[in-house]
Amino acid sequence: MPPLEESERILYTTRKHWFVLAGEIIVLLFLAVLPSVLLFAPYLVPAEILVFLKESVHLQGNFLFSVLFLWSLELLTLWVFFALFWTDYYFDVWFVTNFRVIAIDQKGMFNRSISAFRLDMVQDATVDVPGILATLIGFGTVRVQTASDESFKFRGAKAPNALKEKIMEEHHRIQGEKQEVSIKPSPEEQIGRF
Amino acid sequence: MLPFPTIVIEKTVLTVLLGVALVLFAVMTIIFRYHWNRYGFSEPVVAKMRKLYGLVSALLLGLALIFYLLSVFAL
Repeated sequence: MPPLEESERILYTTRKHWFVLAGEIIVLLFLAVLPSVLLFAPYLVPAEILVFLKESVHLQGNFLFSVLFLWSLELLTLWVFFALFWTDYYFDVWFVTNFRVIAIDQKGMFNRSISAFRLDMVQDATVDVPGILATLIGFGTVRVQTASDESFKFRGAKAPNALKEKIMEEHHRIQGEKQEVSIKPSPEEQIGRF
Repeated sequence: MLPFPTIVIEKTVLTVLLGVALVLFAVMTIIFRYHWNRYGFSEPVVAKMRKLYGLVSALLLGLALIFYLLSVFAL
């Protein structure tokens, strides 16, 4: 849970769309199966590349097991990269609370920023859905402009319209509450009238 | 003649590779554990990932170790 103020509660939580992670996973899968082509289907590899590899790389010990060993090390490295990408994906998160929006941006392992802006400071929120694919599977960028001229951006957000609507809904609720308080006369004013 | 030197992967190179991989893997695992424990907001998903990471890592490390031993000590 992010650090919350007294009587603050989380109303909406959103992360990046799974498609953002899927793109990275596809690259990792491609790299993972690449050595298997060399090992189990060498006829798929151009002959020049096979000759080049035979002449340039000499493995001592059992050839098959040495290659399998190197491949398992490669898979282990790719697995660590997967964990890194997943952490980056899962820990990038926006929370809409009844007071503010908390934006957590995880960049790699050692770079993490937490920004927060109060809902009554929101001036405008826009959604940018880039292209057909983004429209079909539902991801995009949400930009929030605040009164202090700061702009907050959430790239690759899942259901960006729902996030924008929730932010604007809470913004209007808070504005409404503020107006009610300013219209309602104070107890001293009410006593003075009588 | 090749325009670049030939790479000879000896048994000692395989041993060094295994050692380096083990050290890097251990360091990354400690870092992941720290992040997931400290910033894991919704516990069930992070707990699942922690289990999956441990399971797959153990499997891959086991395979690497078996293939290393077979490649170095196989006749």
